[in-house]
Order: sequence, then structure tokens, then C-alpha cells
Amino acid sequence: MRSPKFGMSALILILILASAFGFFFSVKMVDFSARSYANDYLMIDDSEYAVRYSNQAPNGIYRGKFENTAELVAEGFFGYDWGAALSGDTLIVNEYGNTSLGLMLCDLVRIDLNTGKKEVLMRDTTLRGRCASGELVCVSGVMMDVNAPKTNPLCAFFCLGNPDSKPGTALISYLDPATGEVLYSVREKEFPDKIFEARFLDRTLEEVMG
Amino acid sequence: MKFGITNKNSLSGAWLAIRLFQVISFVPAAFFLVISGYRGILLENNVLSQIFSCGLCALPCGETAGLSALYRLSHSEILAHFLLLGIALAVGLITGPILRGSEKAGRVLRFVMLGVLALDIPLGILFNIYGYFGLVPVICGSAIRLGFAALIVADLIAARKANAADPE
Repeated sequence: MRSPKFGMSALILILILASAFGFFFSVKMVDFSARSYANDYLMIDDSEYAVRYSNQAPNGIYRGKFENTAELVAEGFFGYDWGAALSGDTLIVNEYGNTSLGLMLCDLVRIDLNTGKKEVLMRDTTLRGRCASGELVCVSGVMMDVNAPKTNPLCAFFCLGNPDSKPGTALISYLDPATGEVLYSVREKEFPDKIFEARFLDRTLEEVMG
Repeated sequence: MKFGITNKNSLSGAWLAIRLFQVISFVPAAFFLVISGYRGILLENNVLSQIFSCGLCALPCGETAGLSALYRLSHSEILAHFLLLGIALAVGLITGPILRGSEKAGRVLRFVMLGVLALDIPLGILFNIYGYFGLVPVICGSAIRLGFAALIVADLIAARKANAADPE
């Protein structure tokens, strides 16, 4: 049998070109089709800052009580669902992002509300709220349910590159709300929301450590 | 098919191993391509996702870990897709002239491939300790890599026999 000189390399080149066209059209088509109306303006506690979710204006943190006159401080898709910690002019909050094919990721970020400067405190980490003694409770190393991690092999692929990711477990960290410093970390198995709340949010840091 | 190192115009074990490696590299890339058009595939545990896992585990672990790190860094599956295809292309283009070149270079290439496989198989099993892809893909991946190793060893044995029969 003769070794073909034109075979496999040419096939791969054709695949590269064809998939470039394929990706361009399919990803762009999904981008254009996944549109729905949104325009929410949620004030953060009693402050003059708000989180805006909108496809009419840039998403992000705004300064001002009224959305029409508000000023954009930091652009991004921030979460106010599981709490945000405002301390002086510093806000600690979840920021959501997508991979190129739509895997949703969450980082814990700290935003200086004066300058709009954004700093990632913990990668692939979700702020879940405050414990009974006031510290911030964060969960790392877990893919969000919206990514269907039980069936989606891309989640497994993504987790391979993260030392904090271990299947079935989560790294739970307690952070100082003022400084963002990690006070205590513990690795536990993944819990459903109700058990998580009773075990980590309804107790004080001392009780969890004890 | 003829095993050996000097049979430049024949299908040798190493040549077949490299082509199999390239074909396996297409599998995860094809999965990336399919989900870009049909996202619902991510919500169900199906044959394609199992094949994706097999493809990943059958690739050398360094490549898989590197791609995963790139994916994590860039948040781009599309970049990983093109890198997979690029690696498959580069392996073919680099090893092709060596396989058709001198006997010494061909022998060195085969030993390098064996070394990579010797590292790759235990690393693949180690990855399974974390259980990301499950046992089946790791067994399939290890079996494929053992197959590669057997093809390369068959080449080396055939070359040694040929040299023993004709020392000139």
C-alpha cells in the first residue's frame, strides 16, 4: 500500500477552512437569534449605585437614582441575585461572562466605585451571600447549573485546567467584606441550595470553623 | 502493510499511528463544531459527548491539559478547536519527512513516540483519579495508545530482524 502524500494534511486544511466558515455562520446566527427585551435597574442597598441589566444600554454598575440620568461606572454583567457587598466606595460582586460557545462563568470582582477600576478577587467563584456573622460566603470550583455540568463534556474539559475543580466537591471560602481577604476555606461536597444555606449561611464563621 | 523503518513508500506502523492520532484529534474538534450550531446537545448525555470524551483522553495528556488551560485563559472553545486541528496538521507535516528520511532519524522518531506514550498512559490514568470523564473513555483512550505503541514496536522489531538478516 502506497503512502499518500496529499492525504491527511490536505484533509485537515480543508477541515480548518470549512470549520472557520461553519463557526462564523453558526455562532453569529445564535448571537442574532438569542435576543429578548430586558431593562432592569436595581439599586444596591440604600446607596446611590445600581446594577443595570439591559439590552437597550450597556450592562453594568451605574451611579444615580434615575436610570435616564445615571452615569456608567463599570461595564459588565454583574449579579445582584446572591448579594453584593458595598463597603464605602468598594463593591464586591459576581461578574458573569460567557465563553465563545456560551458556557457561563462567574468571577468574584471588586470594583472601586470612584474610578470604576475592576479587579478579579477570585476566578470561577460565586458569591452566595453572607453568613450569620456577616462574612461573605463564596463557592469555587463548581460549574454553574445553567451549563448542564452533568452532561456537558465541555465543563469537564474546562475544569481540567483548574486546580480548585474536583468533581463533586466545592471550595467554600469566607471573605472579609471590607478587604476581600480570605479568612477561612474548607473543601466540602456539593450541597443542594437548602442544605448549603443551613450549613454555611445560617451559621456564624466561628460555628463553621468549630 | 509492512512493518519496518526503511520501507519509505509503504504503510508502516509509525505512519499508521500518526494518522490515527490525527483522526482522533478531529473528534473533539468536530464536537465543538456541532455544538456551535446545535447547543441542545450539551443538555443530554449522548453518543457524541462520549466520543468527545474518548477523543480527549486518547490525545496525549499534555495536549489535553494545554488545551484546557488555553480554554480557561481565553474562554474560547473556537480557539481550542483550531489549535487541535493545527496540532494534528503540524504533527503530520513534521513527522512526514522524518518517516521518509534516514533510517537513523526514523528510529529516533519511533523511540521519541514510545517515550511520549510511556508518559501519556500513566498520566491518562492519573487524570481519571479526578473522574472528569469517567472510566470508559480512559479505558478506550489507554487501549488506543497501547495500540499506537504496539504498531511502533512492530516497526522496530521488523527493522532489527531485517538488520540481523542483512547487516550491510
